[in-house]
Amino acid sequence: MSRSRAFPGRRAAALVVAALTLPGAHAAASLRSLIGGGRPLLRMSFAGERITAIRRCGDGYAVTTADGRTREFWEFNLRFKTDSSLHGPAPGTPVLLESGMQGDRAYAIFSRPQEISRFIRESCGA
Amino acid sequence: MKIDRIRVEHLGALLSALIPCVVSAAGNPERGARVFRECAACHSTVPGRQMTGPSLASIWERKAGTVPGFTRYSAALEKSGVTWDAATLDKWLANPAAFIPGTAMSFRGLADAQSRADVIAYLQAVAEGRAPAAGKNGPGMGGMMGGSRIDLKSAPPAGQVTRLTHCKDTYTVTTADGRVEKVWEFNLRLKTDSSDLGPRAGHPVAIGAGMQGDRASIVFAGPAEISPFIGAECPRTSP
Repeated sequence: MSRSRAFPGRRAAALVVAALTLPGAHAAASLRSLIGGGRPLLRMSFAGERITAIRRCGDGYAVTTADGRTREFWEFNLRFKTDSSLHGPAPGTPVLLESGMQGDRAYAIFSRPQEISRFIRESCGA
Repeated sequence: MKIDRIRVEHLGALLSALIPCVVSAAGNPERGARVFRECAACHSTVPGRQMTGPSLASIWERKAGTVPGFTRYSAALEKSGVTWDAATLDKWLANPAAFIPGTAMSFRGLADAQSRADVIAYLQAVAEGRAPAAGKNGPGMGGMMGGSRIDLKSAPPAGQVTRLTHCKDTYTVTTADGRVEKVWEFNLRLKTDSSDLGPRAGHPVAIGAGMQGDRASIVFAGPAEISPFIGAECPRTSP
């Protein structure tokens, strides 16, 4: 048990090293999935992944991340998931993970399901 | 007018048959409908059916960025001042990012001039009611497989979710046929479908996904339903 607890710490440390030494978010993200053994380590996320707002308008979502970028998705292409494990995002700080070959799909991953609805604001304004 | 167009098309086809080095013959809507399958993952030609991209049912001679009901245009496209016709569509389809820098369309483009001419002919034919719409049922739930999209309002009992609870890293999904299944939280996607094919409000629908049958999507009518529908994290008896 103690060994399994120690492992995420090593992975986290490796991630920090990767994040410090590799400038590109993509490189770090792919390293992160290697470190996480296929499951992304979301507790440590990059500004471009940390979701600060999700706005819904019609059949689309506009997702704003901590780097100030806003990405728009057709509702069918944005999937909500939860990861309540130690690997998961910090409470109240969902993470955006892009997926799909065209880059038009993504996951918004929350730490628990109760966060999802209250995080999403219905608004068609900016 | 119609006869003239037919004659011109025949002439184009004849010339390209006679002179193989003439690359771009007139477009053929039937061939264009087949080429359009490449576009159908993101676009429908059914009026009003918006997907990743807007419905292309009536883009012919329409100003770019003005399809009613589509809300995800890039600022670049909206401000482009382009009106879609054979010439502008040809440049756009050849290389969208070069024609309108900053576009959100990630499609790299159709290199083959004949394929572009065919797609353009198809889009014109759709707008003029001379060709059937593609994507009547849109892509499949996962989108990747391109299968038919089903009307979730008529989902069978096995798909109707009556109860959904979350405990630790597991969702327990109960469906109207009485089945109870446990799904690792990372394998369950929660989605919304507010279209006319989406589920009724308060009646989410489960859809299987993934090759192993271990993944699923639960589709809600809107995001406000998601959290309230998901029950208390763990029953008291849970260790």
